[in-house]
Amino acid sequence: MKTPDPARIERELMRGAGPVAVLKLLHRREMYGYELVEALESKTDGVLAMGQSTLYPMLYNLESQGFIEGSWKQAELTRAGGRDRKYYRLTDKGRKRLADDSKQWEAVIRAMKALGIATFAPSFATL
Amino acid sequence: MSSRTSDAAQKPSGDEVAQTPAARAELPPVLRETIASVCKRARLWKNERADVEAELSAHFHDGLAQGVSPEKLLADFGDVKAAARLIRRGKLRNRPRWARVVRRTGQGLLLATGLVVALAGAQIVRFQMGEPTVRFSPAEVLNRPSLAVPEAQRAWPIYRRAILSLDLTNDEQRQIGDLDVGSGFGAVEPLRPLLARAEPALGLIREGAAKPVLGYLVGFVADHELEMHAWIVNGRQGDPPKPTPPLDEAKGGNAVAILLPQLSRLRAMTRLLRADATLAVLDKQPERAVANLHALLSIARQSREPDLLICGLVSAAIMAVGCEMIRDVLFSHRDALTDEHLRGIAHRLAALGGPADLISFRGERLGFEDFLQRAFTEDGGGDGRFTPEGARLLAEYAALDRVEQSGIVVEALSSALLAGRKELSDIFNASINLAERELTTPPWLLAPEALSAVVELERRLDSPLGRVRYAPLQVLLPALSTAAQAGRRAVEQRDATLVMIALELHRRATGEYPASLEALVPSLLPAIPPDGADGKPLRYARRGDSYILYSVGADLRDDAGTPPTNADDSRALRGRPGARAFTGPGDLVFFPPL
Repeated sequence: MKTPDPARIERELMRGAGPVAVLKLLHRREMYGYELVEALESKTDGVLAMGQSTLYPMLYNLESQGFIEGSWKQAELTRAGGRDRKYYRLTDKGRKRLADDSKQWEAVIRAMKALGIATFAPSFATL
Repeated sequence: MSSRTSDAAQKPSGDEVAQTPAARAELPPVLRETIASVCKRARLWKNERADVEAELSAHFHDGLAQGVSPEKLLADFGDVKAAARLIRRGKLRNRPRWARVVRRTGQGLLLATGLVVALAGAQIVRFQMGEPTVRFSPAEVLNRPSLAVPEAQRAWPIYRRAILSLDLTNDEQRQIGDLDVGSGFGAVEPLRPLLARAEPALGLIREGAAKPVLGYLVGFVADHELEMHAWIVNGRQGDPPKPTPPLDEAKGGNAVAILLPQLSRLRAMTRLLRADATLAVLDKQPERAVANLHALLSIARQSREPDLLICGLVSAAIMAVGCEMIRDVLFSHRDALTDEHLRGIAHRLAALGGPADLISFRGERLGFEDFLQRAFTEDGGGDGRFTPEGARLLAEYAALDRVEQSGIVVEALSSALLAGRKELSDIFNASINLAERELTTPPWLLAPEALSAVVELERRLDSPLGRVRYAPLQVLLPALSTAAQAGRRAVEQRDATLVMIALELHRRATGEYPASLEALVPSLLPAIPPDGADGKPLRYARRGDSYILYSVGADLRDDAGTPPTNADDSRALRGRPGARAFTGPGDLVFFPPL
């Protein structure tokens, strides 16, 4: 199956999928911006890849809604080492939001499958 | 572990801020410039800016550490303008509630200010573009009835000759006007030489009074010949009057600019007639006295022309002079006139008609229509909007009332609050309708809702908003209720005078005044006139060889014909019942003179 061109993902679709994808990535552990960019690129085959000009405003929005929290960490304590980074982690509110959004996406995908648009129903656990 | 709190993440300390430029300085110039550009465009608070700079610097450092070229990082970053806009939006959402409230309030105020400025600008432009259409000349309309009568039937040309033949100075005319017969008709003696000099004029005045109409043609230019005559008679003091330049009636020929010099001339003539009638009574020349009285009452009728409220009020005042003269004769020289004389005067008096014959509001309607046509645009449906010409005209009218003028911007903005042409016209006509009802309906028959409508209308016009919204009405709406009351009271006084004449005729026939007014009906009076205050028969009581005739007045209390001691009460007694409070007892006494 041919992988869709990320550039062809419609803006509105990205607007709905991007935040839930970020929340999902932060579900397991806290991450910093570059990590998130890389993860979105690699784990979605580039479908949900987004530039920093999109990611960071999205992070600030999620932060303003209380779904994630950011905190600066000293360079020597970071995995990548060398620099201070701002790490984001999921809040309880964000966890609840992720659960709600996941259900909705699964329902959408089931519906698309029923219409023959999607041929399989991927689990969000793959992210 | 020494991680910082999330609060600290939102607002980095001074150390962190200081650290950021250093971190950025290590980046390739192209990336440094991108970060600077994003942060500058995002217009963030200092701590927010430091946070974003630090985070983007860390991001690019991470990319470089992974071996990504600066160009690739820059390409992956995306559009700088969009990033700045979105980052600003995200950061604004992260600000404390108070900051968001302040920002929203500021935006709201800015928007509101912008809207107000835009609306004001639109209003000014709309106001400046408005042009009225003048469709009629009020002077022409007022002159139509006079022009329909042949000149030979008009009194004014003869009165004009009378004025030109009179050589009395203003002081001498004032002496004649100040005549007070309270202490007896002998008070006229000092005026004998003046009245002798006025005899030619008096002859012409009596001749003019016999004409059916006044025939004065209103205009906007003073009568220069009359002005010159007055200047010469008064000793040529000061510069001679200059002829009034002709007026462009299309521009300046509005109703308020109409000159009415005939009114003061007619009043001066009636004072002359009254003084001469007084002298005639003293000299036992009843024919001359009666001729003067007839002339005076004819002038009362003629002075209602043109059809303007002020003319009606002057007519009422002249009629009152005649009534007082008759009363004074009946009081102190009751045998001076023959029965025939008295009957003739009674008929002349009765022919002056009722309140609606005396007072007319038609001219006020005409004047207001004239203002509307000169001040407002015309939309074809009776409505229109205020114009700069209207503002100029209103300021001109208001200047007569000593109201200060305002600038064009204030006028334009005020015009937004000003009621439209149709609304003003409707309110004006409703006010006139109410006044006409008050004029023609006795107060005891006037429905309470009619009076409450008058009060409500006065309250509406006198409210703070009403003064702006209905400014033309404030300036142009006359004291309608007062005018209506004046008309009713003048007729009431006239009716009381007719009763006095009937009483005198009864006395002559029977040797005494009757016990009640019913004795006069129907041989001497068709009916007993009602008391103008409460509708009951006019109050009357025989007192020795004389009598008392009075109205209870607006306090509606019968104080047995006691005159009020307070001047305010005296005025209030003539007003609308219930309109004013009274400080003491008092009735409106018609006879005897006070």
